[in-house]
Amino acid sequence: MKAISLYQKDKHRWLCFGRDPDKDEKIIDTNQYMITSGSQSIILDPGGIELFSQMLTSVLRYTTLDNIKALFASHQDPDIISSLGLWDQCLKNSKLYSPWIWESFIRHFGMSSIEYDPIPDEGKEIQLGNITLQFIPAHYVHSSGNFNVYDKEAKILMSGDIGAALDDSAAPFFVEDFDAHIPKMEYFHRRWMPSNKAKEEWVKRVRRLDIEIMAPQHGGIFKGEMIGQFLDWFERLDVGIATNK
Amino acid sequence: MAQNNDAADTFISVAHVASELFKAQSIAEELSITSKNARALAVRAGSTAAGFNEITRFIEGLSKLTIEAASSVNTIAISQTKIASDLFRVQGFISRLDQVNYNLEDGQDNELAPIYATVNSTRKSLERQIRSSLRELVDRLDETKMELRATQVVSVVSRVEASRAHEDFQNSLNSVADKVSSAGQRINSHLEKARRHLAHLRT
Repeated sequence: MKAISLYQKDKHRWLCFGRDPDKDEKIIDTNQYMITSGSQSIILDPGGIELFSQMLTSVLRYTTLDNIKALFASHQDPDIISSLGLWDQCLKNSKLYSPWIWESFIRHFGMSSIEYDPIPDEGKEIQLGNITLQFIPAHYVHSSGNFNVYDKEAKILMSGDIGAALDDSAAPFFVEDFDAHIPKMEYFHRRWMPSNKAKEEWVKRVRRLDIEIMAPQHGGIFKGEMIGQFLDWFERLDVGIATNK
Repeated sequence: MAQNNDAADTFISVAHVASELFKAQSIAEELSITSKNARALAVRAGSTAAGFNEITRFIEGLSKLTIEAASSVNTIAISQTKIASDLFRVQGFISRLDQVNYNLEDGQDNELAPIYATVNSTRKSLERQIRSSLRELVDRLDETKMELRATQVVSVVSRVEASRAHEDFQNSLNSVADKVSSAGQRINSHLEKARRHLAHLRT
């Protein structure tokens, strides 16, 4: 599994793990993120059970198990958090931040030592080392209980499935050509996102944030002006489309 | 001592080994740059540092050796972590199956017999794979550690060669010797840490 640094200032760092060359091709490629501030780390959307071994090996190159204070699961999907039962064997005194509505569902993945810290619908802030992270509501884009993570200092928004693309696992970490990237995102957003109203509210909410990097859970990461391009494109896109015959 | 290693403990230990080797690999990459710089320095120093030129080839070889060892240990470790996490899932399944078995009425347990047979055979196979892969990992680590002993010899020889060179280059050549010695020690320390992570596991 490859790793790249998205941000590094003093002891504050964002890493992205993904593009695993050994991954089974039938498993969707995912981006996992780890934020570290001082001696504390949080893993965002730690991934599915099939990627656990590669993730654990990669994470230990940059931190220790004792320093992993929390996991974050944007929603309940298996590619997001089905590895929970295995992380639960490794982490002591850690929390899982996830939408309150999914607690009784996510516990099916197995969880005895990690503490579930439910995120209320309106979101909340947490302290990690010396930084504050905000859980930004993103309900119904796509999951009915769903959050993004915003780091005001690093100006990074981890946008979960929003901005996701079904791309080749050898694709570059960053989107290089927005127009060429659209076909890789369009079907996913039309089919997985159920509500135009929720989408519009999310776009309005995110436009108020100062963002330099928008980091989705699948496919390329957006940087600089491409974030505006994405928001404009997504705002215009008619979502919640599927054939129901 | 338990008959078999605890699966969760195994995947954590082996992931630690891979991370130590990753750190060793970064140092070996630095060593490779040192070797290239040293070669350029030896050329500038001319005939008085001719012996140094030969040493730089040896340093490059050591660096390659460590990078290759790190890469192969990493491959073994990732496959090992995967086997251990599969074993953890199988062990979890067996303990759930035991609960089902306990609650079944007489005669119903025949239903579970073929499942037990399959899953126990999978468990045994995974345990065998883990032990064999652990042995391979330990051997590879020990072998690399042995080969790296040469770094200290290289460092000493480098100092001797530096003393023969023109005095304008002696400090720089001595600095190369220091870097080789320090890289060797740091790589060794990561290999030892890696080895300690495996010490309690049964091979």
